[in-house]
Amino acid sequence: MEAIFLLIPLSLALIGVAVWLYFRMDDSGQFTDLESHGRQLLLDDDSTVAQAGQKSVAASQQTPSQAATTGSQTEEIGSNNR
Amino acid sequence: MSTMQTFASGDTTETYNYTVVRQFAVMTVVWGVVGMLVGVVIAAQLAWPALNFDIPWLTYSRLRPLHTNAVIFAFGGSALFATSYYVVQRTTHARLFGGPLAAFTFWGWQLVIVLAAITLPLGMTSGKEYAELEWPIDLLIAVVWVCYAIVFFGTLAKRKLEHIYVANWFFGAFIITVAVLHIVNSMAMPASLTKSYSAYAGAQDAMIQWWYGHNAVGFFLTAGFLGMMYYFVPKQAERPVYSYRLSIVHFWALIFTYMWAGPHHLHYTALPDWTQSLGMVFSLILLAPSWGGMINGIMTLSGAWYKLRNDAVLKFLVVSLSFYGMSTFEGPMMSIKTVNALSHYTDWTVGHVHSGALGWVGFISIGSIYYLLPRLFGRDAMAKPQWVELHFWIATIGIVLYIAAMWIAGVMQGLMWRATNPDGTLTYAFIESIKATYPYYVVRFLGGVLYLSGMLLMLMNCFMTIAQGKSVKAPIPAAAAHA
Repeated sequence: MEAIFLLIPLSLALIGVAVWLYFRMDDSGQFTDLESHGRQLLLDDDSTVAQAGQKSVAASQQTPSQAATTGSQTEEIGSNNR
Repeated sequence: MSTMQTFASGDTTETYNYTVVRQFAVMTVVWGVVGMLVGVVIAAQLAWPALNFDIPWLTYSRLRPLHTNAVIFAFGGSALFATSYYVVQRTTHARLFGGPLAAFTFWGWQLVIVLAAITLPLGMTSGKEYAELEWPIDLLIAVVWVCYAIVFFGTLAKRKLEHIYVANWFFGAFIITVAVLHIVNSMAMPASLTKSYSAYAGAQDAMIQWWYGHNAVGFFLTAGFLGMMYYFVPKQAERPVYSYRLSIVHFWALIFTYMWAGPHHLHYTALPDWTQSLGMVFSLILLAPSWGGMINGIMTLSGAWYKLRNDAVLKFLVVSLSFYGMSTFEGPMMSIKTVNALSHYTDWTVGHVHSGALGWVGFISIGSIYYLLPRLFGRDAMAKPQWVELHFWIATIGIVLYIAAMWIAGVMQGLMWRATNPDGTLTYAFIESIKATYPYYVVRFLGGVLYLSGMLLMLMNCFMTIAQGKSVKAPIPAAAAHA
């Protein structure tokens, strides 16, 4: 089973790199704040429609009852978005 | 609305490289149609063998690797290039690094695909599953892949936002690991331009091959597509990922446990017993990070479930996660040696692979491309949004037909093969199990036809969207806006 003499060191080396990378990134503060970055993603508006009016069409298709039950949350996120 | 204003006055600001994203996104759909068409053809050949017309280039043995290479590396690969290039730019606020290198990865990758489509039907193969391409093409893949790594990590290095979004970790791990896997497994001694022999022999070769094969599933078909999931599910749902902390744990847990599961492909072979058991144990451990990620993705919709009602793109993305959960439960179960004794070499394996491939990889890619295309061509939606909904239902019914047929066929084959008479002789001849499988092969073919039809609908929808839109240049937000 000579193949394992290649595969085990290779896999261990990769794991070693991963461990090193993890601690390096942890030291540099990549993992200190694990709450805000999920929301940060939504702040990036990647719509490329030049006419701003078109974007609200999808939102207005919501039925009134849906808007009533979920409206407050949608509003909150929506305002962050812009 | 500050981004809108910069958009309008866009000439002087730096823009993202959307050209290469557009190219890969369109080719994802094109290669999807081609690869799935070949899949439907070989599914038909299994039900009606006369369909190879006695032409050597059209035999099952040559078209099957063409199908797998086309769907995994052409369709899946293009989707990964497109989404990783998009995500890394949008989450770092930096243009792709390396100038023309990104364009080189596009044309280089297309050349690899075209060469595969020529050489595989001609019967040129190294005989390694999912690594059939001969050595000159392997060298080209290695060069393109190194350039991909330079572009991706170069972009991360020049990022303008301090934090690296979790999707980039998954894409990065996928790029590095696939490079290592490809180079180690493709080591060969060329005998001519079109024939080479593996650097490893016998059981060693098998072990290396399935170390490659399973990690290709783990990093090409899982980690990369999880990167897609962590960007496009929150974006389309307009909700932050359920737990960002869990997504980081998910990543590191997957990295530390995936590498060792390969031997479960070689249960009851010449591979040492302890290696098989080790592979089984690590496969079972994998259930934990896989389900952690799946739950994290699905729970992103908590409080926003109503969006599933009207949003077909979100349907694709969320149902892909349920298939991810299903196949990452099924996989560890099948790696248990006693279960594997029944399932191995049967069509159950084929069903398992396709629940992952059509359901998880296919749906997450399709959903992501539906998200991307309007944005790449300056539209607010696909030209025919109702076709997206239709596509979703056609494809879902197709998958259900496909995997249910293969599950039944697989368990039946396993039971027939192991059945013995009281005197110890086999109850069934092998051909009897094939005959019994026939109706399931027909159902599987129908499932494939449905899935392909959905893909054709997507292709037409894409062309119409492109015709109505125009290639946009998206400006990179000014530094002050996100300080």
